[in-house]
Amino acid sequence: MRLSEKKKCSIAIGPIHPALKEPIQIEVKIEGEKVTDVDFALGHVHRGIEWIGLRRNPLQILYLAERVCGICNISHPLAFCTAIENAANIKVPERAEYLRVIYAELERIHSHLLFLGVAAHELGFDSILHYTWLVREKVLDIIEYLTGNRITKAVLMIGGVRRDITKEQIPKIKEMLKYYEKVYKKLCNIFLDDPTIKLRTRDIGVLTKEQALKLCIVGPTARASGIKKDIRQDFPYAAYADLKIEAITPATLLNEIRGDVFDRVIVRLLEVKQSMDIIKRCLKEMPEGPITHEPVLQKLLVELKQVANEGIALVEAPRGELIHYIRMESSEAPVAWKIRAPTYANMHAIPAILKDCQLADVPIVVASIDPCISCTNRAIIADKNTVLNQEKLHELSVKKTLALINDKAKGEGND
Amino acid sequence: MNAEEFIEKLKKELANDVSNFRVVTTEHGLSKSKAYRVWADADSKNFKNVVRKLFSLQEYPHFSVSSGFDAGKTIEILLHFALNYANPKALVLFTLRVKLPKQRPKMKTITDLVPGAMISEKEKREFFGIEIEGLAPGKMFLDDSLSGVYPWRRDSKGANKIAKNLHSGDAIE
Repeated sequence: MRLSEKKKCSIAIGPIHPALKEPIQIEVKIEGEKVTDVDFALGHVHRGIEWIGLRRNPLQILYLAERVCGICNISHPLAFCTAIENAANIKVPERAEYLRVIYAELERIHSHLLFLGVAAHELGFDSILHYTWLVREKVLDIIEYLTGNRITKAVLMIGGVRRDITKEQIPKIKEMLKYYEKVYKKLCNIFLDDPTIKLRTRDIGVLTKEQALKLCIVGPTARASGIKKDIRQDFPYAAYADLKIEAITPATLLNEIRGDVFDRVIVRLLEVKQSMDIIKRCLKEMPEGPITHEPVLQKLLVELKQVANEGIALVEAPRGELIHYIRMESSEAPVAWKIRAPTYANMHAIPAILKDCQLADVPIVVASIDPCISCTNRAIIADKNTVLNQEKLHELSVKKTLALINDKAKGEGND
Repeated sequence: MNAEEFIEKLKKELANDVSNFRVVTTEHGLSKSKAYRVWADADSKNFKNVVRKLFSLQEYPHFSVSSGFDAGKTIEILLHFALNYANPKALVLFTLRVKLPKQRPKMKTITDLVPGAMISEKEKREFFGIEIEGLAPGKMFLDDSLSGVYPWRRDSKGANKIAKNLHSGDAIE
């Protein structure tokens, strides 16, 4: 074969891969360095959580729901509780609705900061990964301070929440918000003005508005393509009903929408600020009152066991629209429980955004939808010799960044 | 268009195609803002026509997911749509219920209308053993060692025999 001929081959990325963090298999067909076709398969970490749930009572399921995802362990219990409350016609006290929003927005801040770090890492920019995750520690500290744990918070309860936020705790939350106001400018400067980040993300992994609509894409990925849908804005739940949330698109900042990786970064960055503002408002406007519909769990369980109805909830998780559907038939355990996490919907975008990409861009493009596979939950390794390991992909990524910088420098020199 | 106006249009558009059309509202926040959930049943032979009609109400109806459960003699599949989205407080969460006979559960694909339904339909095929006409071949979640086992069924084809071996070391054989 002559060197000028572009070799066609198929590469299996995953199920274990540095760009994915969780098991998923993406099979890319390439011609030379260009991706020509993509297929994917899920299920590597399917734990049968819904099946297990159908053998538990609703209070026990709450703890299962919290373990669907290591990041969205407010969003899943919130969606589960809201679905049960819908089926059982339980009214959540207003203060609990505000507390739910505060916990959910703290989760969004930590999730989006986690994404920004992952995105930087995929670009070969590990100093930014470390900075972003250092910054993220502050919100995790506050989550621990308020709930007792950094990750599995166990703070939601059917009919309300388990822990209130006391007046004595508020100064620490305000201090955290002040800290983020200070570092936010620096984060914006890094992600929006750095030429290297722009070079690696602008016009890469484009998802058009029409593609996003047809594929039913959700969350920041959809908003980055210009679709102004956000469950917090569209569908009243918790205290979002009072807060007049406006869906953020890249046009909010730049007056243009390209639907590329850069736009997905912009949306999440702006949503960090939006979450800070929402928390501030909740702290100011949260009414006094009870925090749960029924504090005695035995009584609550008796009430739930009598329910013969179905309920459904929509929640805007950090990655987008999350759904829980539940059906009870006056028994200990529900007869149906369905979870649909945002990545389940957003996986449909993977073939579209990877098509025509350079191989070195695959990690950042996949990471740009901020996939969460544990939430979503296989493929065939076509040729074991062509599986790229972490070192090789990192090397390709660094090479591309350097080549782009050199090309740019040459271009400027010619000017 | 607010949610109530949209529901009126939806009801009118689907009047001849669905039964048990019901609207459930819940109130949230100090503003007591209402969230609207609409439920309806459709015949398994006509449900695709109902989905087609949603396109006359919105250019791109948002298909969220389908859920389902084994009801004994039937398998119920529920198609959940988030309609009238991108409008503040106006989203209508519409669920269309389709009952399929347990003996030979079969339905048409909607992926020709809604490409974003692909993962959900493959999941129903793998977890309930439903034949979905027109859906692209290939598995999404379960591996071939689970062939003939449909985990979400509550009958002999369900996952009970696998569950017994969950802690035995050589689990799924």
